[in-house]
Amino acid sequence: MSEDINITINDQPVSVPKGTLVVEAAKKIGIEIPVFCYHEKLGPFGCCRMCLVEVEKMPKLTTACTQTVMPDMVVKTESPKVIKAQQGVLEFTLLNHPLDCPVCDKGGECPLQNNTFKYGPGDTRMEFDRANRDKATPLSPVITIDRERCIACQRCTRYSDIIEQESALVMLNRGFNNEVGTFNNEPYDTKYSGNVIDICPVGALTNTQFRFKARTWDLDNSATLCAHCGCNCNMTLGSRTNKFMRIETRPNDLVDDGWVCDKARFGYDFIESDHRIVEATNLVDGEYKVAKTLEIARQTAESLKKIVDEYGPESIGFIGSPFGTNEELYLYHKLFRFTLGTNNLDHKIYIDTPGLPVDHYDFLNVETANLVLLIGSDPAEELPILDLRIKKAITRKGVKLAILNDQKTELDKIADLSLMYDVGSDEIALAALANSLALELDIEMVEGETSDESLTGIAERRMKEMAELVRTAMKVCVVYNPASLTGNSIFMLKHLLGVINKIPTMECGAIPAAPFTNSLGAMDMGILPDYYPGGISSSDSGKVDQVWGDGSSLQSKGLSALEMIDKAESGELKALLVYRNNPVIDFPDRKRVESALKKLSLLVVHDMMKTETSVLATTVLPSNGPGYDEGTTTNIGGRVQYRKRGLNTKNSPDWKIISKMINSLSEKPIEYLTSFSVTEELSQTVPGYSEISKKSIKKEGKTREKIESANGVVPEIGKVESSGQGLKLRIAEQLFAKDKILDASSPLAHHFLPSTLCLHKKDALKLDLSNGDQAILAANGVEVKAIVEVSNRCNPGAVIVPRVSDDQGLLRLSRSCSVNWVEVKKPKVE
Amino acid sequence: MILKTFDGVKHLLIGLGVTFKNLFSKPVTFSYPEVKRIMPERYRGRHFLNRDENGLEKCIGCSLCSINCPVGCIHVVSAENDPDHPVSPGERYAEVYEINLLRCIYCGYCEEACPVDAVVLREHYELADYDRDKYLATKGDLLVYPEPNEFKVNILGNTTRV
Amino acid sequence: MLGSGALIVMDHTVNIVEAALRMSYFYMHESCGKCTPCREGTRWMYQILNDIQNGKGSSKQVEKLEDICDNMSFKCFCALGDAAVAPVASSIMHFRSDYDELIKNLESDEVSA
Ligand code: SF4
Ligand code: SF4
Ligand code: SF4
Ligand code: SF4
Ligand code: FES
Repeated sequence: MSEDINITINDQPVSVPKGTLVVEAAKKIGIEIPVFCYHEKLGPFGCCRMCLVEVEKMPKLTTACTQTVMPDMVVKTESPKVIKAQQGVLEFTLLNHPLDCPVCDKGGECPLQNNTFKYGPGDTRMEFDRANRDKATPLSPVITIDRERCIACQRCTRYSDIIEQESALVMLNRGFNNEVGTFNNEPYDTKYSGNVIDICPVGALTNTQFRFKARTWDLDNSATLCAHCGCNCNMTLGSRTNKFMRIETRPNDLVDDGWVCDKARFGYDFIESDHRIVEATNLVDGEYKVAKTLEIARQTAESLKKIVDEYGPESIGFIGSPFGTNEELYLYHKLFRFTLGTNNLDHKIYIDTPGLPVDHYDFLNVETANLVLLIGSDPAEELPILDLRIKKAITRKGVKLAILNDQKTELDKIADLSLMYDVGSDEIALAALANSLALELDIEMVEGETSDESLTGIAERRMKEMAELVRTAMKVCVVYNPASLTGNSIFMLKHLLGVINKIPTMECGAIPAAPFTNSLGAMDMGILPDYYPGGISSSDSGKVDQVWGDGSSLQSKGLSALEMIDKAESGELKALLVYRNNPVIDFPDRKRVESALKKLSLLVVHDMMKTETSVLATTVLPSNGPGYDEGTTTNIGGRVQYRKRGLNTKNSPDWKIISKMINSLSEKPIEYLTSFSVTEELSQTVPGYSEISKKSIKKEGKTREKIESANGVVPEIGKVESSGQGLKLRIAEQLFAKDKILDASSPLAHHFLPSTLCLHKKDALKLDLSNGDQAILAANGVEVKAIVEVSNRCNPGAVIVPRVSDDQGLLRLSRSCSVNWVEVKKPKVE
Repeated sequence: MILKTFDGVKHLLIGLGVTFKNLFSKPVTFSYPEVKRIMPERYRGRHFLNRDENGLEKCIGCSLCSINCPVGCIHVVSAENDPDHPVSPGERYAEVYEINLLRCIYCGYCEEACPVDAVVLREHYELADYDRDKYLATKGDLLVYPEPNEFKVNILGNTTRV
Repeated sequence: MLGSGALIVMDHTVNIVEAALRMSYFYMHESCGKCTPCREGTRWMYQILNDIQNGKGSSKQVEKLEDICDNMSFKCFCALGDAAVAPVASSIMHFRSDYDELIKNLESDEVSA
C-alpha cells in the first residue's frame, strides 16, 4: 500500500500501514515488547504501563500499545531507560501480587510470570505485608475469580464492553480498592463469558471446572474444532491421561476471531457422560446382545442388502445428521447410493438445497460488507460467534444491519432497520422485498399480491425502506437461517438473492446460517434425496455419470426424511439407518414417528448418545462423536477445517464402521487407512472440494469452492395455510437447551429456561393471559405446559416457544415443516 | 644366595605383617544386614513427603517435581482443597502422588525443584524387593507418618503402608 | 514546588515529612486505579512515609522512595501520578535533613537500646 510508513525499531527498519501500533510493528519484525493490558482484539488502553518504549525526539517514554507509528519514528525497546522503566513497572505490578505461582492455575502459561522472568527486577523491595483480597470467589457457576491475583489490566472488563457488548463485567471502586465484579453482584453469565479466562494475563479469572485439576504443562493439547454450532470455532482440547480437562480458544481470524462461546468451553461434559453408546448391540429375542462393532456392522450391511434384494432399494432409507463429519457422511452417501442403490437420504426436516445464486460469503465478509441482511436468523441463540462478528461489524466497522425476521432478537437493538413479518408469511415477505427491488430493476417479478400489509404484517412503506437500504449498499452480506423458513420459502430466498445480485455495481454474497455443526457439509456430501455430492441434481444423470462413472445415476426419486417416516408408517419402507439423529424428538409428531419406526423390520441407530430413537432400534452402533472422532467439517462460511481427535478410545472410528459396511457388500473393497484417506477420495469426487487436502486445511482450514445453484425460474408463492385454529407456532432455538449434549449435570445448567411461550399483547389480552401465568399449548392431541411471557416478541397471531429441553417435546405440537397451529389455553382449574 | 633368601623372607614378612595387622584390627565392612550403616544426612536415598508443623501435607501438588524429574517418574494429580478440611496449606493439594522408584535415578532434582520442601530424598537405602509393584510408591508410602515431621531422628522404619 | 503546579507556602514550624505524608495520602486516595505505577506507587510511598514519620524508617527507605519517584514520574497514564511524585521528590531533594533527623532519632534509639 502507498500508505505504508517506515519506522526503525532497535535499528531494524520496518514498514507498516498507517495507523499500526508500535507493538504490532515490533511484532512484525520479531521484536517483543512486553504487554499486559494490550490485546490485539481489544485495542489500545494503556493502563498497565508494561510496554513503555523510548521514542527519539519524545521527552518521555511512551506506551507502545497506544502509540501509532509515525513517519521516520525511531523506537528503542532495550535502552537503559526502558529497562529501568520495565523493572519499575513490574515491581509495581508485583507489589501486592501473591506470588504463589506453584499453586496458581496460570503458572506455566502466565504472561506475568514470563514478563517478570524476562524483564523483571531480580528481587522485591516491598517491606510491607502484601494486601489481601478475596480468594476464590465465584463470578458465575463456571468462572471463579481470585481477586488477589488480579493486576487490574481491565482486559476482562473491556472484553465485556467491546466484544460481547454486555458490559456485564466492570471495574468496581476506585484507586487501590478497584476490583473486577458485576453490577449488584449478579452472576456474570453471558453466552461468551468464558473467554475472559483466556485473556486474563494472570491467574485471576479461572475456569471453575479446571481449577487446580492439572498443571498446564501436563496437558496434552489437541487443536480441534467446536462441534456445537455451524461456526466451527477453533479450540484446543486439553486432556491428561486421556481425561478431558479443559477447552481453550485457538484464534483463527477467519472463523472465530479468537473467541469461543460458553457452550464450547463448558458444554463438553457429554464426552464423559454415562449416556454414551459405547458398544454395538443387536436386538435378539427382545434383548440387546453386545457384539464386536465391526461384526455387527457387517451383519447390518448384509441385512440391508437382503431387504433391498427382497423389496427393492426403495424400501430402505438413511437419515443422516448435520452433526457428522464430511468423511462419515460421504461414506454413508456411498453406501446408500452406490452399494445399496437408493436415493433415500436426508438429514433434516426443513427444505433446503445446496448452492447459492450468489457468492458464498465467509465470516470475514461480514466485516467488509456495507450491509448485513439477516433473514430469519437469531445468531445469539443459534450461532453465538457469528453474533459477536456481526456486533463487531456493526459497532466497530461501520457496517449497517437490516433484519427481516419473524421474531425479535437481541441484534434488533443495534440494527438500522428491523422488520418483523408474521410467523409463516416468510415466503411473501421475501417476495415482497424481491419485488420492490425487481420493480426498480425492471426485471421479472414474483406473481401475486405481496405488498399488502395484511399478508405479512409489514407495511409496504417499511419494505420499501428495506429495499432502499439494500439497493444503496455496495456490498450486501445476506445471513439466513434455512431451518427457520417454512415450506418452500428457501426458493423465494434464493430468488431474492438473485435479484439483489442483479443490482448494478452490487456485490452480494450469502451465508446459509443453519445452526448445526455441519449442515453445509451434509448437503455437500449429498445427504439429500435429490442431490448428489457437490450440489449435482440427481435428475441430471449425465453429470452424475460423468463424476461417478457410468450407471451411477439412480432412476428413482429419493424420499425426504419426513417422507421416509410416512413410508415407514405405511409399511413401504422396511429398513432405516439413523445416523446421529433423533427423529423421535426432533421430528414433528412424536407419536406417529414412534409408531412408524416400530413398524420397520430393521432400524439401525448409529449414534454417540442414547436417545429416544436408539431405544427403539433393532441394532445400535456406537459413534465416537466430538472429542474422540476426527474428520473435516464445513462451516456456514464454507470453510473446511479439520476436527482433530482430543481423546483416545478403543472403539472403531465411524468411518471404519461405515467402510466396513460398504466393503462387506462390494466386490472391490477399499481399505481406508485414516480419515484422511477418505478426505483424499472425496476431494477427487465431490465438486468444490478439489483443493481440500490434509495439507491445505492444516492451519486455518480452506474455503471450499462455491457450489452453483441451478436457478432461473421465478418461484411462485405457495398456497398459504391461513386456516387453522389458535395461533401459529414458531419454535425458537435456544443455545443452552437441556438435551443430550447439555444434561442436568452440565455446569451450564443454570442457563436452562423453564418452558415459556411468548405472546403478543393483543393475543394475550384476547386469551386473558398475563405475564407469568401458567398456560397450555395444545395441538395434535398433545399438551405442553409453559409460562406466559407477554413480550411482543412476534406479531399478533402467533406464539413463540423457545426449545428449552428435549423433555418439553415441542415438536410433538407440529405436523410438518410449514406453518403449524396451536391453541393456547388456560390450564383447567381443579 | 643366603642374602637373597633372607631378603625374600623379610619382604614376605612385611607383606604378611599388613595381613596380620588387619586380621586383628576392627573391620571396615559391616556385616549387613545385622549391622546397618548410618548414611550421611544428605544421602540421596528413598523419597519422603514432609508434613508441616500442623500435620498438614506440605506438598501443594504443583507438579514442579514431576516436570523437573529427568526420567519422568513422578506422577501428580492435584485437586482443590476443601477449606474446612484442608489436606495441605495451599489451595491445591496432591490427590495422587506416585513415584516409580525403579525408574528413579536418585538425582535429587525433585527435591531441588520443590518450592515448599515437601519432597526430600533421605538416608533410607534399603530398597531391594522381589515385587516390582512395590516400587510404585504412593502417597501413603511416601508421607512421613503419622507424626508431623520428626523423621530427622531416625527415619528407618518410620513409614509403613497405611 | 509541592503539588500540581501550585505553590504552597509553609513556615519553618511545619514538619516537611508530615506534610509530604499528608499529600501522598491525598494522592493515594485520589488515584483512580487505572494505571499500575500510580495505583501501586502512591500506596507504597504512603506506606513508607508513614513508617518514616512514625520513626520506623531507615535511610535506605528514603533512597528507595527516591527510586520509586523516579519509577513513577512520567510513566503514568495521566498527570496525577507525576503530581503525586512531586511533593515527595521535592521534599526529599530540599529537606533531606528533616528526613535524616527522623531517621537518626530512630537509629540512635537503636544504639542506646
Ligand atoms: S498469576 Fe502468574 S505470576 Fe501470579 S501467581 Fe499465577 S502464575 Fe504466578
Ligand atoms: S481479572 Fe484478569 S483480565 Fe480482569 S483486570 Fe484482573 S488481571 Fe486483568
Ligand atoms: S530423584 Fe531425580 S529421578 Fe528420582 S524422582 Fe527425583 S528428580 Fe526424578
Ligand atoms: S512435592 Fe513439592 S514440587 Fe512436588 S508437587 Fe508437591 S509441592 Fe510440588
Ligand atoms: S500494554 Fe501498553 S499500557 Fe498495558
